Amino acid sequence: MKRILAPLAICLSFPVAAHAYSDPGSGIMLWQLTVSFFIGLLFYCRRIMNFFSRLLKRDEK
Amino acid sequence: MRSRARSFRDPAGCLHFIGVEPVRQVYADFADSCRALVATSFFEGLMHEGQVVRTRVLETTPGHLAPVARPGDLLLAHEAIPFPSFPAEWPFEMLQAAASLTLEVAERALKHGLGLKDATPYNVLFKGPRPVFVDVLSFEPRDPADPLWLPQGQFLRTFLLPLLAAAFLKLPLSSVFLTRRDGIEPADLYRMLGPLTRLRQPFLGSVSLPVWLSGKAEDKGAEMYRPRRLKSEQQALFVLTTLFKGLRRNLGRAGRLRRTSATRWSDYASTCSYDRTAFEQKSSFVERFLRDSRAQRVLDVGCNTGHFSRLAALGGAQVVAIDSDPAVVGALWSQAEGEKLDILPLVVDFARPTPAVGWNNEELPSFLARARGHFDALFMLAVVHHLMVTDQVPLPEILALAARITSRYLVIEYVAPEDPQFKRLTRGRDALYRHCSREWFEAAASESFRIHECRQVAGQKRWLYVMEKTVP
Repeated sequence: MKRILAPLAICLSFPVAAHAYSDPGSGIMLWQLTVSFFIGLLFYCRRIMNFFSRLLKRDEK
Repeated sequence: MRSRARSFRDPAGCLHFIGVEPVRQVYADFADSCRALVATSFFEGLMHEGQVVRTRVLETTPGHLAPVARPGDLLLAHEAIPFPSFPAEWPFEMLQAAASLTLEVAERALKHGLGLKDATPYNVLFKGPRPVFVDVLSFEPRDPADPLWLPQGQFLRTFLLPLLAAAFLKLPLSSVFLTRRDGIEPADLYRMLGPLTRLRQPFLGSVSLPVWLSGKAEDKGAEMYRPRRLKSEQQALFVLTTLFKGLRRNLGRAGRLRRTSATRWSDYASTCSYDRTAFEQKSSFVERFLRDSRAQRVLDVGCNTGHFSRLAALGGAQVVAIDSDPAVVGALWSQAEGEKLDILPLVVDFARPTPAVGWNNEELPSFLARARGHFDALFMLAVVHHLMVTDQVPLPEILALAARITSRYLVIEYVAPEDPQFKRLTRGRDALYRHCSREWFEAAASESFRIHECRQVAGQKRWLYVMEKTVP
């Protein structure tokens, strides 16, 4: 048990890197970029699905 | 320089006031696109629906602005909003309405190749209960292939996160907006949430993920903000409209998160000491005053349910109703908005009104500076004893402030120390208020007012007064 606790205590005693001149809004921006990327993919997925559903409707007729 | 103090941040222009009329000076570099914008059917449509402030181009420079206007500048005259108010004074419902309007304007602008440069509650003012978008310079032409809405971060910080904090943690909006210009950061809200809440929507997407990604974002640095273009304009439009829908959904979630519980004053109507007859008598007294005086602009202090504000609005006056409890102010706003009554309800404690805030302590004028001389009738019904006892303000001070605010009438309710509500407030220290007799009250009032009418409320130790100001 002591073998686990000692390294943990050492880890906890190191502070997280402080950003001296940080831009607090950057996290929001990165998340927005990520979301936009996936929505962009969704756009093409929907296009492909619409294409296939139109194809199927034509086959039915 | 009062006029410059309020809108100096925008590099595209600034706002001046000629009396109460706002005139916007748009600098030469931005004048052409602004002139084109004002002429579009899109802008006309927004003005017609009352979503954007009425604006017209001034072809000749007004005399007052001749020293500051430069060749090539465009001057726009805006409709004056009767009583400007700021997010620190808005209840939850009004901030939510302002957010909703901002999104709607941004969505509609998208279809016309325009975007908003920023998304802050200071771009919205309320005309009665209706939000109006006033920052015309926020519109800019946008690249149709650009899939990003850069002001989304600001929208989150200044609209969504304060709403989430107010709904979920009951954080008063005034504590956010009086101290910070740009709202709350996700990291601030993250600290206040429990571990399970952090994983729920709307917090997951608006608070937790931005916080978790902030380290990585720091490493990326300025490169993250470079403009992006997609190959397909339709794809960019799809991305943006989906983003706006997501923001709208989160706004809705914030509204549903509100755990409705009774606040100190929200059940006043059922717990106060009036019986029906007394209340009806008070009501008809006020109605008669409104009819006889034809008051145009009324300030109702301690409005609570807004019953008397409603009477004034139905009588044709423009009403500003203030109360220190955000829950009752929010309820009054919903009612005024639904019934289309000209009532602007604000969260203001009369004993500690909104101070002048911002750069040079003059960017946003104090509540009293805006109120002075603006109203021709002031209602102080069932509120004087709270100011005297709870807030420990001497009565002559209260009356002196009333005289400074109103330009003509004061409708005030004197509550005798023997009244049960008064006794409840003093908590046993009745001796301090024994001298507050009606004669003493009338003598103090006569310093600045002439008493026109006095009526005792049936069965109560309360008297209603109509007074008219005698001092300038």
